[in-house]
Amino acid sequence: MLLPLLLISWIMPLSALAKPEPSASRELRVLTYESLASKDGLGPILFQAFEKRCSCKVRVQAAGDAGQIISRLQLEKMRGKSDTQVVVGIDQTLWPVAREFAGAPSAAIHVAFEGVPELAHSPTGKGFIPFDWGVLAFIARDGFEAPRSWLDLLAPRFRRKFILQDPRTSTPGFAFVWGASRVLDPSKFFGQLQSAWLTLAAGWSGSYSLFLRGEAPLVWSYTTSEAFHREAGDGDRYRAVLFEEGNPIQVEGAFAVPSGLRSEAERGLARAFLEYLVSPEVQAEIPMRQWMFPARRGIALPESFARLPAARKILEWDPVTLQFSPLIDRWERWIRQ
Amino acid sequence: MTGWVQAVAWIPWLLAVLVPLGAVLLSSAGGGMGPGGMLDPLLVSKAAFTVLQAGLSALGAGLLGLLWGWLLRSHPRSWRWLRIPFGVPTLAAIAAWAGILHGSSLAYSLEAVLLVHVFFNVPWVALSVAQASGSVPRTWDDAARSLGAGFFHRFRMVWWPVLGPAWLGAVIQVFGFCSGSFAIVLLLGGGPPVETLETAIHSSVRGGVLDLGLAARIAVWQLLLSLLPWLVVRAWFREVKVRAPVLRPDQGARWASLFAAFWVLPYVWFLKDLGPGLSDPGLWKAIGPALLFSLSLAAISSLLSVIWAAAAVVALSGRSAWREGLMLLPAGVSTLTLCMGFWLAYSGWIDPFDGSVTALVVIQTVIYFPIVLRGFLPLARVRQESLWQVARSHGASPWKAFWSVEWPRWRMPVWSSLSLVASASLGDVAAVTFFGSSSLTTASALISRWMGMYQFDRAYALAGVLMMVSLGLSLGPWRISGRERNLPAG
Repeated sequence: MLLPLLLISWIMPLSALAKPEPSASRELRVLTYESLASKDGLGPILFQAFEKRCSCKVRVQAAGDAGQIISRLQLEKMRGKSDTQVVVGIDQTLWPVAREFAGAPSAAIHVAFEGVPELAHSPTGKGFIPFDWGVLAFIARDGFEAPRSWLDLLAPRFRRKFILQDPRTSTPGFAFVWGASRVLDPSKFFGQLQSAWLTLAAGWSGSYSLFLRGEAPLVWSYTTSEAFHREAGDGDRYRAVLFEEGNPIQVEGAFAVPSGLRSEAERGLARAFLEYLVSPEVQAEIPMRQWMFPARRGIALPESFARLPAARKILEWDPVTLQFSPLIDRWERWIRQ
Repeated sequence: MTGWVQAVAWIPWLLAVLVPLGAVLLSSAGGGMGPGGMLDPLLVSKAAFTVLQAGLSALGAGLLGLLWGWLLRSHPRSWRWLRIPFGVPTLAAIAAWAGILHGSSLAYSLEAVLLVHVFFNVPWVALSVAQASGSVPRTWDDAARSLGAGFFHRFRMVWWPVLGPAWLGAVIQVFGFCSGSFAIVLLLGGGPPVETLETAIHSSVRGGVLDLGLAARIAVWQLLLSLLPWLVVRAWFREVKVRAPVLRPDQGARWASLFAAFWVLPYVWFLKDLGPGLSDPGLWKAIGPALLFSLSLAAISSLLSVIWAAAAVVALSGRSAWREGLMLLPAGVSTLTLCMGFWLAYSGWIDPFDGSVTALVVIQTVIYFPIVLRGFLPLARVRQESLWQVARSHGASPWKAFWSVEWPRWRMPVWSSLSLVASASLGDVAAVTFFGSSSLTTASALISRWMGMYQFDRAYALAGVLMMVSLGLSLGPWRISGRERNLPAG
C-alpha cells in the first residue's frame, strides 16, 4: 500500500513542477535544438515576437541537438501520435531523413533560398526552408600556425592539437567527415587521423568549451566563430582557418510537420511562423544571435561578419554518396583499421 | 499480509526489470541476431574493447586494492576514507581529472580512462579485502608464526583462503562497474575508437538517426558482459562464509588514515579551484531548482530502494537461492541497458526526449536496489529468535519487540543504504542523459550544460557543492554511529 502512495505523492508534484501546462487555446508546437531556444539564442526573439503577432502561444520543445530532433520525430511516429507542428534547426545532411515528416512548403521558400549559396540548393528541395547558413572551418588561437589543407592535419606538428566533434551526435562533426570524404581518400585519411585528434566531443558546444579552456589550439567550428570573438572583445585572438581544397557548408532549415497539423487554422499558424522565420525582421537577428549568415539576401551584416575570410571553395554535400547512416557506418570502420 | 509483501517485492521486479530486459531481447532479435546482427565485426570490436578496458581497469584496481586492503586491515578507522570515492559524483570526478591531466599526454585517451577507473575502484577492492581480513582469527596467524611460517607462507595458508574469494569477488565486481562505465569513457576517453558498449548505446539512441535495433543489439552484448561477472560473483559468494569482522585495537591509525586518504587526493585538488564559482552571487539562485530536483530524486530513489529491498527480504525469507538470484538480477544490468529496455517497453507512455521523472525514479531505484538488498540479506538470515521470544513473552507488542530487538541491528544498514543510494543518485549521469531534458534538469545535467556554455566557474562550483552534499550523505551514518563495525559487505 505504501509503495503506490509514495509514488503518487512524490512523483506527481515533481512532474507538475517539471512540465508547465500550456494555457493558450491557439498554440503552435515548435521542436528545435537547445542552443537556439536558449536565452542567448534566436529563440526568445523569434518565439516571443511571433506570439505577439499571432496572439497565440508558441510551445517550444528543445532537443539537445539537431540529431535528437530527428530521433524525436521518429519516436513520435513509432508511438503513432505527433505533437510537433514545426521543426526549426535541421541541416541539409539530415534533411533526407527528416523529409518523410515534412509537409508542402509555404510561399516563403522562394524568398529564403535567395541568400544561400547556389551549391546548397540541390540537396534540400521541396519542404526545406533554409533560415541560416555557415561555412565549417577550424578556429585557431592567435599565434598558432594553422593547417592549410585537410592532409596537413596528419602532420606530426598538429598531433593532438585539434578538437573535433563526434559525427554521430553532432552536425558539424558530420560535416567534417563528409567534407574530408569529398576531397580525400577517407579510408586512409581517417585511419591515420584517429590518433591525431585530441578528442571527439559529443557536441559542438562541448568541443568549443574545451578549446576555450585551452585544451587545444584548434577546434572545428564555423568561420563565423571568428566574428563572435571579435564582437566579444577578443580582437584578432581567434581566427578562422580555411583549407585549400575547400570547406563544407551547413544550411539550417525549418519545415512544417503535417501529421501534427490537424486543422486549417493550425496549418495557417505554422505557415505564418515559417514566413516570419525568413522575414527581414527575424533574418536581421541571425548574425548576432545564431552566429550564422542569414538565408535571406540583402540583410545588412555586422562589421565583424564583413571581415570574415571567404572560403576558396565551398564543398557540396552529395545526398547520394554521403548519406548520414551509411557514411557514419563506414567512418566507424575506418577509424578502427 | 504475506501476499502484499510478495506483491510489493515482485511486481516492481516484473515491471521494471523483466519487462524492460525482455523488450531489449525482443528488439535485438527483430534487428537481426545472426552474423549480420549480433556478430557484426564493428559490434564485436566494441565489445572486445569494452572487455579490454574493463579487464585492465579491474586488474589495476585489484592489485592496488589488495595491497591497500592488506596494509589497512588492522585499521578500521581508516576505512572511512575508502568510502569517500563512492560519494564523489561522477562529473565532479571527471572535472577533477580533466584538470589534473590537462596538457599531459594522458589526456583524452584510454590511459586516462584506466587511471580514473583504477582510482575510483581501488578503495572498493581495498575495503572488501580489509573487511574480509577481519574475519581471520588472529590466533591462526599467531599459531602459524609460532610454528616458524614466514610471511608468504602465512599469507598463502592463513589469509588467502579468506581474502582470495573476497578479493576476486571485488575484482569481478569492478570489472562489471567498468564495463558499464559511461560518463568517464565518454568525456575522458577522447571519443571513438575509445568507445565502450555503453557509449555506443548512447550514440545510437541520442545520435543523428534513431536506431533502436542497433541500440538493442548493443544492449544485449552489454547485458552479457555485465551479467557474466555477476553470475561468477554469485557462484563465488555462495561458497564463502565471511564472519562478522573481528575488530582489533587500532594502532598507527594516523598514518593508516593518511595512507587510505591517498585515493581522495584528486578530489581535494579539485575543491581548491572552486573559489571563483562559489563567490558568484547568482550561483545559489541558479542552482537551487536543479539541486532541489536532484535531492528530491535522490530521496525518492533511496526510500523506494530501501522499501523494496525490505519487502524483498521478507518475500525471500526461506525461499530458494534461485529466487534470490532473480531478485538480484539488476546487479548485472548496466544503467543504459535498463534505460534502453525501459524506453522500448514503455515508449507509448514515456517520451525520453521530453524527460520523464517517473523513468528517472524507476531506473535509479532499480539500479541501486541490489546494493541495498545485498546489505539486508545477511541480516535477515540471522534472526534474533530467542531475544524476540523473550521480548514477546514479557508482553512487548510485535512493533515494540522489533524496535528493541531487531532495529538496533538494522538501523545502521538502513541508514547506510539510504545514504549510499542518495549519494549515488546525486551523481548519476547515465539515467539523466537518457531520461532528462531541458525542462527536467538535475544538478549533473546543469553541470554539463554550464560546461557547454563556457561557464566553468559555475559548473565547477556546482560540482563541488554536489560533492560536498554526497560526501556528507555517504559519511553521515558513520558520524551518527561512531562505529565502523557494520560496513556493508559489498
